[in-house]
Amino acid sequence: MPNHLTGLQPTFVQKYMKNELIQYAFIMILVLIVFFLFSSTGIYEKFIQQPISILFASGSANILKLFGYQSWAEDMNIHCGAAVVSISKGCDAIAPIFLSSLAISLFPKVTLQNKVSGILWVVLVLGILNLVRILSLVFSQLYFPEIFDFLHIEFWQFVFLVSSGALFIYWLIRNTKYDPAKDQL
Amino acid sequence: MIQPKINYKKIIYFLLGLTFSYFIIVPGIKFTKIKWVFIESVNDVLNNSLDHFFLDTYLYLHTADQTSRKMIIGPYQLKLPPVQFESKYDTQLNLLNKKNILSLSSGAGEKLPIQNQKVQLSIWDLWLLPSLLVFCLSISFPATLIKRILLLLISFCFLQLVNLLRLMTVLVLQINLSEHLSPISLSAWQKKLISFSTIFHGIESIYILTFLSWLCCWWLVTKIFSIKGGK
Repeated sequence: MPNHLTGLQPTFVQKYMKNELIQYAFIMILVLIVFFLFSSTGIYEKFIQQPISILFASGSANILKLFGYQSWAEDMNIHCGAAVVSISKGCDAIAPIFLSSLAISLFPKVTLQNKVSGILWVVLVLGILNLVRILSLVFSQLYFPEIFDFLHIEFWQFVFLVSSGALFIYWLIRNTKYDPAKDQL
Repeated sequence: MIQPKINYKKIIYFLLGLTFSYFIIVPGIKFTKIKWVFIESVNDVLNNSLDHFFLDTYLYLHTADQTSRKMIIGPYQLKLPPVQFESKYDTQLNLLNKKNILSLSSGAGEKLPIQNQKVQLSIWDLWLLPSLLVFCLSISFPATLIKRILLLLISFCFLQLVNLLRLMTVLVLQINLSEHLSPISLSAWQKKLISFSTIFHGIESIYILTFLSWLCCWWLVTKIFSIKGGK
């Protein structure tokens, strides 16, 4: 029975669960858990991760060829001279793209058109950024192998995290309006 | 339409401050001896706190330094030669079966009769990098000094729990995978949960999970201040 009929005050949890932004954060966490669960399955690896990694590998090899490098892609590996870079799970940009797209798609009270265009921008920008990451790793293996580890882990993981957040905030500012009357997060 | 109150300037300052502090602090530690001081400190804390955590297994985290280490198990000692890793791993985890030692050895000063199980780990990736990220996020956050300090304290403590949980799942997995160690008895759902946790051991998920943990703490601190301000 609703609280106004029973005369009881809503509890702390009830009050906060009515807040659209709290609901949004709660659903985001749930979907993220499902995504991480799904990403540990063979189906995900076979039908999502591997095809995307192969796409990035062949794309990077073709760009390297354009610049006159002898390079070729073999499954998820890029060969360029003495350098071999493998695009494994975590280097495919799927997680940051999914995270930003999810944040956009679930955000309340924004038109579908704005959500779709936002997701397309995220895919495009982070996809290009991932190509840059792969190329930088190939070049670092060729010319600066001592910084490969730093680039691979500390540099690019951070860049992707910040870029995903910045893209989402930029989309949020462009497509929503602050309402001071509303309860905020 | 709804939108959290956003200030362009503050966001830009936050992102710039975060990037600047991250690229000063992280390489400044990674490429100097400070990294090894931190890793050894974490190893020491873990060795002391996890020493008797598992009933049938002794564990010892050993750093790739030049000095020879000893693993002390009651009256017994196991000499550990210096480890030189050329890969991304910085620490060696040594696991010993307590039951085997006690049944096979008879007195103090005796050489331990069994080989220890060795696992390569990166305490830098598992523990220090997330802690540094949380530190940079908290100090760059545009807020009052008190709010920043509180955010840093809460997020840092929360992250230590997340890190500990991650390390425990690594340990349980390693112990149960080994033929020489007594397996930890787990129910079916616990086994599933532990195997599911492996997806949080990758570097990408470490970054994402750290950031999400920090966001939760930020929300908590904001709420605490808004409740305090409302009263």
